[in-house]
Amino acid sequence: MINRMTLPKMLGTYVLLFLYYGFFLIPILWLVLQSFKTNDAIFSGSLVPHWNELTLSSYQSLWQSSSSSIVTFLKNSIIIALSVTAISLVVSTLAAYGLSKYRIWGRRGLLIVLLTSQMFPGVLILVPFYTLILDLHLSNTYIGIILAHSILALPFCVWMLKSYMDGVPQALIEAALVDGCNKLNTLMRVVLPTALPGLAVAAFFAFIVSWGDYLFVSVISSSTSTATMPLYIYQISQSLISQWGQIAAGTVIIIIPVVILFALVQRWLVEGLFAGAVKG
Amino acid sequence: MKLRLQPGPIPRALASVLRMPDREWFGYVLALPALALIGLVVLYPVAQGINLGFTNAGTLNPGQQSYVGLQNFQTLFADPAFYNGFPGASALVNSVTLTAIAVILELVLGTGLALLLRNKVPGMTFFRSVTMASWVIPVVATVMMFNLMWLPRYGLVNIILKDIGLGQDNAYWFGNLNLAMPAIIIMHVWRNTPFFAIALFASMQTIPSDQYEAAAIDGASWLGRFRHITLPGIAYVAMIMVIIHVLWTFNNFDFVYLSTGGGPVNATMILPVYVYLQFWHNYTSGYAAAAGVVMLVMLLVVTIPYILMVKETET
Repeated sequence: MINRMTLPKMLGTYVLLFLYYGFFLIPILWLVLQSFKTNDAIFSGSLVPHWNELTLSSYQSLWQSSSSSIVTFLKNSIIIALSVTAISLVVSTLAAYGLSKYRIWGRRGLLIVLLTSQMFPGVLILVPFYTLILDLHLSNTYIGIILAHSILALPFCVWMLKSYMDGVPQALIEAALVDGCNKLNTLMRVVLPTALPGLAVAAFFAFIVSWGDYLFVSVISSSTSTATMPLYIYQISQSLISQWGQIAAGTVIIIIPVVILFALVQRWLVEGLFAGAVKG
Repeated sequence: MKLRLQPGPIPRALASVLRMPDREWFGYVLALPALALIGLVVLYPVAQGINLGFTNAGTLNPGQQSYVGLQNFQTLFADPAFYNGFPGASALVNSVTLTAIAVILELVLGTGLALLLRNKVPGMTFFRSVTMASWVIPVVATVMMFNLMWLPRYGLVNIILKDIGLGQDNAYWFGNLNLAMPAIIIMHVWRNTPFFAIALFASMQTIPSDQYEAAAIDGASWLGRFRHITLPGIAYVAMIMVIIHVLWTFNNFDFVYLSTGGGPVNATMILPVYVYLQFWHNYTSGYAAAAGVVMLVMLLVVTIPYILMVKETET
């Protein structure tokens, strides 16, 4: 069953594959197509556009629109997502190393706390979190949003990295210490290189958590000065006369960075995600 | 008079901290930033949220809250938008229905796709590698994508319906009483099925192939091999996937909020959106927190077995 494929079986496999991947890919392809169509072509409701109905005008208008330009939102999204990635990576690497290689008291309890903290409903946290943000005067600031997103990403990143670090033999670490490496050097030179796939997935995870979040940004950010791309896309989709060409173009733009990063980490992604959810 | 120094409990503790082996305190130092952040921003708000659920706190009158006992919960269960409303129009029931149907579909379709991915045909590596793409795309993008599928007259689904002569069935799915919930379920399935498929595929790869060979010699049918070898082999991974997806789907806010906002007429109202609207649009944070507490209690039912399962593998 696994080794030999007869011709009918091969054809059957392809038919099923195309059905499955049709369901997954058609919405994406249709979105991309709509983003390059003129508004007239979108509203004509034709399936296949004529070549002269294709244009970049939807993309251009996102930049030129004076009332709601994409530039601020895109800039905010990039600043916030990169900061969240950097912070989560540093903090979770240290924590994962501590929890993996040091038999500290209460270690198992801490691990369970980490795991459980992913289960809490975001909306329940949101209510008191909002008060906390107001008390700390972090409303409408990058720091407030970066803090919230880092927390969303942290527990998963710690779990995932810990399971990668568990795979580094203790003897290797001790050998490095004997050879005169200090503790941080050992982490940097011996442990991290082995956990590299885990680091890539953790960074990717933190990035997409921040890049796609609507809930926390909508509450913390009270003006466009800190609002991110998901808010921008939702906002243009809610306007009275929906410009579907522009909405499609904005959506393509929010997807592009994620797809590029996905292509880089794809081969480790599922292994890493699963480690973050199960192994410890 | 001689003063004899007796090691009391506190000096003894201090001494044991100082004598603590090097490898121990450094571990705390490393873990501290993460634990402090999680404590401050997750555990404290959760505790505070549970506390708020028993008060009449409001966003508009900060600092003027008092305990009202179980009043919020009585109001909640008397609100038809929360519980016991028209069939398919209350948050509690909708949340459970949505989670159950979406996760079952994801499991079934994901297992099917995993079996398919095992077939060695040319180009399969490509299919496997693009599979997770739907999972990484931001939810707001997925919502807009499906908007473009379901718009009346110029959405892809409606264009195709018209072209095959079913033009009278032209509907905006997110705005339709009967189609809005299926539309939400389809988006969840679209996003999560690939994750199920890839995780289950990976766990199928770990089943030793000699088991299949032995079964083939014994003349076991395809179904027999699936039931007696594949299913037991993937049961653990499948269980974990189901549990985390129950948690994610039940907690998911943005699919519904960004597509239907809970409408039309509460047809897609779910618990996270209900809490958000109470908090952010009605300014009743105590009441919103009470609804959040109900969610938390329901989540414990799945969280506890999950933690027990993981704890077992952890050792």
